[in-house]
Amino acid sequence: MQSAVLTRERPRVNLGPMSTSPNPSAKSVLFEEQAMQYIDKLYAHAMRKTSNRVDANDLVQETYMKAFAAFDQYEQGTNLKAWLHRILENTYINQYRKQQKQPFYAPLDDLEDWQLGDAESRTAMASRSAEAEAIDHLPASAVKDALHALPEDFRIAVYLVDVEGYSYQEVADIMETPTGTVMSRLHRGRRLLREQLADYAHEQGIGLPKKTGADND
Amino acid sequence: MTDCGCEKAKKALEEYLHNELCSTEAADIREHMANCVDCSDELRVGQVLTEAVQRACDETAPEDLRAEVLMKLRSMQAH
Ligand SMILES: [Zn+2]
Repeated sequence: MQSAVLTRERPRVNLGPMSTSPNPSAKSVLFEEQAMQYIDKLYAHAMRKTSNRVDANDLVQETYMKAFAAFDQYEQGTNLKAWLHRILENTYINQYRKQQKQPFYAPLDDLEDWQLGDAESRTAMASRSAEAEAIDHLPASAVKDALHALPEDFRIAVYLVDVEGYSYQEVADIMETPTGTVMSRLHRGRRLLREQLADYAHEQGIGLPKKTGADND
Repeated sequence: MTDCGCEKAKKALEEYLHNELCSTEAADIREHMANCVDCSDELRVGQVLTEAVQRACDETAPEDLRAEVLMKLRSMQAH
């Protein structure tokens, strides 16, 4: 009877307590207990990667599936959240980048400092305290836009350190890159961000006098 | 008491901000910050920037995403 009602690939599970499954393994109970609490964090990470909700949803789902499949390899007592962030990074690199068939851009780590400009000289702030005041009053949407204008690797380094509070070493593990690279991405990302926010504040006339120097870059 | 100077303080500022310095180094920077308006203003900008990023990145996963993940997990473990 019920098989006629069920649609083709609909898995025969409901979302009630685990009792529906004949014998929920200790593994799956443990996984749900430990991993599901980080879904907001993984979603935030996925939003920083994909910049849109649909892809972020997919990325989070795939991350959880992969993590569950690999859960035997997770060492209890180590940082599960960092492990999940790392799987998300990997999943994105392996699947989304390929799918999008985007040309591969070399990471911007090689940019010389002069190419990125110097935040202090370029923004010509009346004072640092005015700058801090301005940044403090910017709408979140402006900060989000500025963040998404950063090169992806810079953005993720900033996100993992400033929002998730990971150490440089932990980010190096998540992004599978040397600590020195993390530092450089982070510093450059933050500098670019600061510049962009200062520009935005100038444009909006938020708490800052006009730029003194001409745009000569 | 030896002041580490502005140059060192500015160089180490980001690591100081992110708690990446060992306690001795951090103490040196902290001491300099307490006595130097220029560097402590610079630090303040860094802190405000971090806070702004934190506010901008606050997300809550949609409820149906949570439900879908659970459903998929439970279908995976049913096999
Ligand atoms: Zn100083």
